Amino acid sequence: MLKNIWIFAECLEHLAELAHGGRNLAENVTAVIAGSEANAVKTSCFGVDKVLWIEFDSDNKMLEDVSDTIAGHMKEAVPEALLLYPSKRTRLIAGRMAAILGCSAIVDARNISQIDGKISAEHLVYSGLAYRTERALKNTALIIVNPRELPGSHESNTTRVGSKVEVTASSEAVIEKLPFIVPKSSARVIKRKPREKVEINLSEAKRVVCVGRGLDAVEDIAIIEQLAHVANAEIACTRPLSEANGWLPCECWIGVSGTMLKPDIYFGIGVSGSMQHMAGANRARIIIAINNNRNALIFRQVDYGIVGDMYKVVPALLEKL
Amino acid sequence: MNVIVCYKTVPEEQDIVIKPDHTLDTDKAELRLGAYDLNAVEEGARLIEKYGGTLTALSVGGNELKNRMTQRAVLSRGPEDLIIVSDPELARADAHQTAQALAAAIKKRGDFDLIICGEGSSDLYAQQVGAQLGELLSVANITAVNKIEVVNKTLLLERDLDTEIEVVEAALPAVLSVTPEINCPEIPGMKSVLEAGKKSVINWDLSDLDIQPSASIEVISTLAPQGMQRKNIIIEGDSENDILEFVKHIKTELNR
Repeated sequence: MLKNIWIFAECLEHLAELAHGGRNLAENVTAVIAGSEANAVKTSCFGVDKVLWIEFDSDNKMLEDVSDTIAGHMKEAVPEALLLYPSKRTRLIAGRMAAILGCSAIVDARNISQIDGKISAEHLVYSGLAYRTERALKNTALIIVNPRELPGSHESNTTRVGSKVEVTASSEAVIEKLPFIVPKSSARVIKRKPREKVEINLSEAKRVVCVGRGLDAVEDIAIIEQLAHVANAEIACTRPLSEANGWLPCECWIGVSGTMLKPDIYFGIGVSGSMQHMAGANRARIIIAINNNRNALIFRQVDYGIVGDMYKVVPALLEKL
Repeated sequence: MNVIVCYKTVPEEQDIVIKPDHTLDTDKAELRLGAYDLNAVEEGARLIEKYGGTLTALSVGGNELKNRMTQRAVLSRGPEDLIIVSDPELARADAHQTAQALAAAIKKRGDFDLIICGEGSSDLYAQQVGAQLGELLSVANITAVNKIEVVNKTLLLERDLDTEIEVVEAALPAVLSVTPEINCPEIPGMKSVLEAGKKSVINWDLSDLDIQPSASIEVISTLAPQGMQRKNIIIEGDSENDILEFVKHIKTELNR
């Protein structure tokens, strides 16, 4: 068990998840929040010991401008680790902070533990071929980690309501305001527009039906969708099907550069099973594959496979399941 | 514009051998340019074509940087010259050491307007070096860049973030990390490949830069995961009976 850790995320929902996971990692959890006072107050109910609030109006500023402030105060407080929820922005924040603190962040961490009093964690390398165990040598470790990789993440005092997490708080934590440290260099945000929103939460899915390049035409996604419906699963795809063909949004792609899954059941339909793809799927309890090529790599790591035409097998499944 | 593109030389993953003790053998793996670095080089070349200026490639690392094939591969994609900082001490450099060496090499070389990095290295994919480099050089430091325009010596950028697109204005000089979607790297023609062999390559080591960056991360091990035990029940055909057997297995699992 660690003594003191800090946590940071872009949004409240993610901060709440880290707060819960962080509890099982350290005796004292301090949440860092950049934004309005109202959000700082909300954070104080996440079951953390302390809230460090950076008053920040991101209207025309990049959120990453808070890096200097967090790093500056961390130098004095020296928590054992700062956990950051994975996002494009927190990756830049971690990099900027690491440069200020003279260290390197451990990213996309799994199995956080301690070796000789220093924090260590695993990180996937070579497109999923191996896990590299890294040990942070400096006093504070910067760790980008998804809360579901933290100990005890399956037992939860958070209840999912749609995509929102509500936390049943024990008591309100003290809020301390951090004076803002102006960054050395900055950029101006002119506008923000929402990305085309896709309501998919693949990483949480219990069952996934994944389609690959064995699919002949975009219209045929319909039968895959039907199968997903029948099997009560989410639909997913391989990277080429989304990136090269554009048949499904990139939120659907599984693999090292896409979503990393840990479902109960994974169906790979017309999926060849490249290393990069399987790294995102091979933590499934059960892997099922349909492929007309007996030599497809996916058959090397399946529980149930059928060497056959997906256009024959999938309709049969729809009828019989 | 005076543009520098950064890249990494990485082992070809398909050639990496997993040994019985789960460690990796990269000795026989062919060397190639990092997949995401190709987008950085391509974007640099396109900016020079559009706005004029000079393009230099830069890499720091171990002995692998001296590989002539990868040197030629990067030079055939547009840069006029190449600077490598090759030093045994950098062979297993972490993100901070790498960024320190890049920053020192950039300072030694002189003024710059723009430094472009890829999204991450294709072997370790920590996506941290660009972010650290911008901070070490104290210039505008922007990642996830999906579009670059230069208007009146000011950068107009589009960032592709998790839930939104952010349009950002930044002054030069700057360090940008670009997405894999920003462009589609062209395969160099024979003429470019031949010309690449004649371009100048500057070789430095850490003593030339006068720095000794120390590690902040210790690598304990790199191990292929113990594959989960799979049942490996494979039905070799799609006759009606075959499919029925397959369905039976699936039903059992779905009802567990």
